Amino acid sequence: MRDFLILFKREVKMQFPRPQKGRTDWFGSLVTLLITLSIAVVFIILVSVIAGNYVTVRIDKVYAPEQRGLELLNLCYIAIIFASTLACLEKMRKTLTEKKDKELLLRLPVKTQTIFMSKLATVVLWIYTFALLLILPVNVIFFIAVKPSGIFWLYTFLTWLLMPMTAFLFATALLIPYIKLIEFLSDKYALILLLFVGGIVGAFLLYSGFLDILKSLVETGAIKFLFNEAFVTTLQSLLVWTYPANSFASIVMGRDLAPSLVIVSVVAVVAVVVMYIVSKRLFYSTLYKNENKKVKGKKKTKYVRTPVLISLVKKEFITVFREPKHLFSYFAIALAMPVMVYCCFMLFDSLISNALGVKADFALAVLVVLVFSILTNTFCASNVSRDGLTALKSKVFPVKASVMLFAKVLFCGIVASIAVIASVVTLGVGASLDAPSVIVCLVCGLAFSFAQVFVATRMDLNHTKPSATPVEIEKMQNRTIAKVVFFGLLIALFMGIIVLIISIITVGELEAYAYIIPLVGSIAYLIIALTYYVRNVEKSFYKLVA
Amino acid sequence: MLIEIKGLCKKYSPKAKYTISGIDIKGYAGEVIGILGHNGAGKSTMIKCITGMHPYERGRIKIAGHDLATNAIEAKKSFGYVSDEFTLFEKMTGYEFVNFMADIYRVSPSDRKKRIARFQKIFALGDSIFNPISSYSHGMKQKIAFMGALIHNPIVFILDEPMVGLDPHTANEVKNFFVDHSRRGNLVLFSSHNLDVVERVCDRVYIIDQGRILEEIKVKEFTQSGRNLEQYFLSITQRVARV
Repeated sequence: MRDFLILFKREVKMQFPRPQKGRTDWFGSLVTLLITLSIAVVFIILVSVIAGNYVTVRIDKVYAPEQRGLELLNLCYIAIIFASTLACLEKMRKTLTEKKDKELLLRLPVKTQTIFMSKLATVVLWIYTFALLLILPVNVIFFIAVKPSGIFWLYTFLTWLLMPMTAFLFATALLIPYIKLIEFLSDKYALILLLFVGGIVGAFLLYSGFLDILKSLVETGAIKFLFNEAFVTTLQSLLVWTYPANSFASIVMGRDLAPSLVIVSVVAVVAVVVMYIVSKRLFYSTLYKNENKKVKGKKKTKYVRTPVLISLVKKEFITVFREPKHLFSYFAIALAMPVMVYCCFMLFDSLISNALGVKADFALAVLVVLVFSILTNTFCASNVSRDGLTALKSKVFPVKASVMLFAKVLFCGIVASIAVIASVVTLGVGASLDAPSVIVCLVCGLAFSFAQVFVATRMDLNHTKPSATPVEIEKMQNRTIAKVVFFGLLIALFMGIIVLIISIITVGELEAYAYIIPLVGSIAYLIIALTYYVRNVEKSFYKLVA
Repeated sequence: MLIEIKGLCKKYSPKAKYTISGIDIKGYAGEVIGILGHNGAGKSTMIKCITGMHPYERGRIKIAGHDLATNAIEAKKSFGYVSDEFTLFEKMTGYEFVNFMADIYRVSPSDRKKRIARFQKIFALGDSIFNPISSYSHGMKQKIAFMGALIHNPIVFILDEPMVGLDPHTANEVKNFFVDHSRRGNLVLFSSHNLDVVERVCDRVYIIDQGRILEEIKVKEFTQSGRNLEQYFLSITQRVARV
């Protein structure tokens, strides 16, 4: 037991790292907190409004807010179980099957079973924390909306205790196919990119559907086209089959308590047994495996001298393209940008047209392109830090730091340019923008994107610590991303909204300003960003130490 | 003279004491120089300063006649460096990495072809050179790091703990390579705490402890005098520790 506790404590420390002592980036942390809070507040308000709308739907003219609440809760629990299953799947794969520290642990005078149990217990603790962060806000919103009795919290506690087990059951069932899939995809980068782009586009189309619901809410004051009797009746008939999510919803509502409790308890017991058996087999089978997968590369014997800058850009491309995490957060987002821009544009265009009776295509196009440029270029906030210790090693190269950093900026600039050009062309064709609007929009988008790349790269350079642990690097990157997004959004919204106002209140010669303001603003931002980037850049790079 | 270090001092923060201080080293063409010291003696810090990875507070470093502070690019063109940490671009294949290094050092296609063929014989990577570096074992990563550092046939070859992780056959090839490279009019400078390696390949050894050079030893003369390098090293470093 003592060995287990020591190992478990160590695992917990690794999974839930404490902030490092030292200089704190207060501004970065504050911006991160602000962005997180604003996203959470907007999400809670939206869900509350939609929920408020849904509970008013009557079937056969019967007003039954509690029944509607039950259905909503059921839907939320399906989403929570789905998210927990995905999180659990990845956590189990990483903790149980990856080599990492296992070699070291096996040398210690502790039983292998103890090592396994300490790892499994950490996964369980992690998933319970994850589930708590999802269940609590949902139930708090529900408590405020429906105002059930005090015993509601006891049932909430019971739900939190049992629901992660359901996620474990699903995750365990999917674990082996998932691992096989990950292994199969590990070196098929083009296929991974394709899947990521498909996933992002799919998710964005779903999100657009959600925004459509909001649009209907804004336009009509109710979500009538969706939340009607026929829709709710169909939903009801489907929810009957959503075990065990419907059982959890019933428990929280205090309905059919006994059968629901039996169902979720049986699921939990089965989950514990299956999870233990599958996890143990997986853990032991991967304990001594050679993780160095034999990847056969293509034989090449062509020797060509490439200019240094191009070689550095090529190196950037390889390091990003062959890392699925980067592939997703950069290439996939950039490639999906035209779809996202187009969907957002069409939605807000119809919203403004219907609400105000005016067309503001150009202003909207500028606003949407600028905002999505920020999203696409957040990746550049890891331009230096993602290299880790190799950033330090590259100081040995007989190449100026400004050239090495410019290669990174150029690489990001090429990706950003492709994304912006594709987006503006999509808007030009799809939304029939006129030629001057397309050209101005393109220049603004390109200038703004390059400015974001410059700012993000420089901010990252200022905060990079090459020897930091991956967790520390990620935290630092998140703070830099938050700052880059914050500044970018401020500028984009300021310019976009001014242009939007001018477009809406178009009075004679003012119309020209709709073009001049974003053009001048974007180019000015680019010049400021470039100045910020260039200032002491060599010195800052050579200051990097382990 | 291919390396000239004079009064090198380095500290990691303004308030800290110097990690290395008053380092004076001279290295000539045709020599293999060893930097010998315990863990934490300051070997790696010194090498990181020489290669331009760490800024330093005082002193002067000249490589192949180029001052590292004022003519860093030319100085860096003159040396190849293999670090003690495997900081390689792991997503590249070995072949891509060596070619990337050749591009960085502006090596002509014919030279890189000849050198890669020669290194393939020494380091015996075979077709693994076309596989991603992330799939390599510890020793293979060390070998590809060697190839990348040597692709421009550097006049000065600097290494930090180079023998760690190499199999006996490759370690022997590397030792022979050091001697061969120096006999071609180049300089090899490496840090180590492996006394056998130092004794076998080095012409001169600098013993470093607590950030200071304690002694410079001409290995041939020293061994011919019948003294034992290991015992001498232990006695001299223990004496300093007592003081």
